[in-house]
Amino acid sequence: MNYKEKYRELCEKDDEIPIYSKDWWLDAVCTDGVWDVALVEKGGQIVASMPYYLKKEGMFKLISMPKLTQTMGPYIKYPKKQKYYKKLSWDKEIMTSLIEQLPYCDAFNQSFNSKITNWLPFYWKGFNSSVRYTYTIENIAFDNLEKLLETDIRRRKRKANELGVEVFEGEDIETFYEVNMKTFQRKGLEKPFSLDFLKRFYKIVKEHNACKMFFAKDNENNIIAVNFLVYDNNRVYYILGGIDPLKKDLGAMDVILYESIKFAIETNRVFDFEGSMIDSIEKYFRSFGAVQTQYLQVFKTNSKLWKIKSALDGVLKR
Amino acid sequence: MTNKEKYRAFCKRELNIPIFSKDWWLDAVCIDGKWDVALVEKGGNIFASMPYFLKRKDIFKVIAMPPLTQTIGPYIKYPSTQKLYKKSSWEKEMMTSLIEQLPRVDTFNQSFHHKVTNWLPFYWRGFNSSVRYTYIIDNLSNKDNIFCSFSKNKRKNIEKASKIVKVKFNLSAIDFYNHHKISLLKSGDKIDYSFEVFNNIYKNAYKNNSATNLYSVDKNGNIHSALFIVWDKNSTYALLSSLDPDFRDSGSLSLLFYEAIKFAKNYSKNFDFEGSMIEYAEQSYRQFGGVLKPYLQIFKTDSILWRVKSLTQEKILGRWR
Repeated sequence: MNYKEKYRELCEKDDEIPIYSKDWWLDAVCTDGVWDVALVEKGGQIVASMPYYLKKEGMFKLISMPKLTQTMGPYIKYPKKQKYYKKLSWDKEIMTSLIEQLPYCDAFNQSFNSKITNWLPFYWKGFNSSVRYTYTIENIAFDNLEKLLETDIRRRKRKANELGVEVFEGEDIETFYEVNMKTFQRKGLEKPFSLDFLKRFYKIVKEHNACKMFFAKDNENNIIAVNFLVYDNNRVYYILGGIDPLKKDLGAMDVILYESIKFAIETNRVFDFEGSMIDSIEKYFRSFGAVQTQYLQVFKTNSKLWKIKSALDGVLKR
Repeated sequence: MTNKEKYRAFCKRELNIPIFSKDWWLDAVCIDGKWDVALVEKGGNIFASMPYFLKRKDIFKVIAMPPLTQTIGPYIKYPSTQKLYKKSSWEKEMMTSLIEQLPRVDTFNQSFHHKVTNWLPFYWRGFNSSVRYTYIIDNLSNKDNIFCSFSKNKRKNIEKASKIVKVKFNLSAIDFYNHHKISLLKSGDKIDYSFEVFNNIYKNAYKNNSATNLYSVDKNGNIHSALFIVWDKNSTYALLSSLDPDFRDSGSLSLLFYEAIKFAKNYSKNFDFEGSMIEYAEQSYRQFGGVLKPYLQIFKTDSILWRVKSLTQEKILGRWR
């Protein structure tokens, strides 16, 4: 059995592996390249895994983040009752072994699950890191959610109700795509993925009972806002959303997010806004009472040429 | 009153300002450049401060870390009973105002105290970040039996050392410096800070009752190791440690750290190993039961020339990986 097959078995058994690292998720998103996995086994048991997405960009070979995927990185199991200082040496042993299995690439870039706080073994192997943020709502009872909301959100939610905006769960992926792309069209940005990609993705994630779509319609039955949630055992992630720019003042997105958070709380999951580093979005998420959570972005450049390219990109962007 | 004068008064009142950001510390270490400070005032009160060390490097003007200084960066006071939602907007307001006061430089590099966890306002202004670690033993006062939390190996070392050496306090500045210098020379290394800087720290920190040093001597009068510690209200920091390679096996430095940690209980809540990103140092610190504490290194390069310089330097030094 090769590592990928072993990993598929592991994913089936181990519910704690985050959705973004599951084999079927990687099948769904790694469409422009291939994914594989590094494993550490001890006494016949897999104690650590680290999937990676390998693709070509021009003449360069890269390990990078797949589409729609917030975090990846190592997943490590610790012996029970392990002392803290032993945990650190465990991290070192396991991570070093994972790193050594990575194939040669010109540049490496992965965001690590927020549970990983120690990246020193990567540092010792020449990697670098930066801190990113996501916003989460956790450990609150549904009755308290209302209290956490900022006045603006409450006002818009009320407005939506008064105007007859209705939220429902749906399965119409084509309508979803249409509304989702409106943001990109409005801003004149290139579409990040095709309808075919999304349809295939949706099919796979749905087969694993790991997604939910909310739609909001106005009183004339026009779909005016949408979102796409994925979830695993512990978390609900808000990965995609869209709003009709002409109807964006109706408060539809606020109601959709409210329903989404409600779903997370009722199923005992953390709600993860898939934090953004963008100023205005950050503020919006916070107004739902979300708390900033750190995660690490870890990277390394092996190729001189890629370094020069990145440096030039940096200069040209200025 | 200038910002600097206001800040000196602020440091006297505001006991939570970390030692490395205190005016007298900056006076001691900022010798091949000058330090100044950005302040945010509201209604006559200072709510945020950010000292910086400005110096020239060849043709470049840089904001850099002063020697022997672990962290610097913003210090922010929060209005009491602030909602979480408001906390981030407060940080944004404070940090943005601090950033706007920084003089124009070719490159900026500061490490922030681990209490600063949100660097987004810096990100929005074009800065970048990296994560560093220090090792901390926290809640010293609750730990009656520090010794038991050390690794077995560490405990053995310490017991062995206490049979070979005695721990004493307060080497003179020149004796401490020379011990470190000679110990490094014996291992083929060069000391990377000047006596002038060290002597300044020694004088200012002793004067402010914020430093001491411990050393270990055997029965023949050989000094095996020495440890210089400084403290503020919250933490005691292991600033410098020196180990004579001829006496590496006596375990004396572990003993000094143990004594320093016990000593620290009188002054601060935490013991900070001034963690190192160096692999072998990390191994030793974690055996004391230190917990990894991440802090942020924040940097920005405005000058294209500096960028090109860093890139070519990297090539010359053969640091392509």
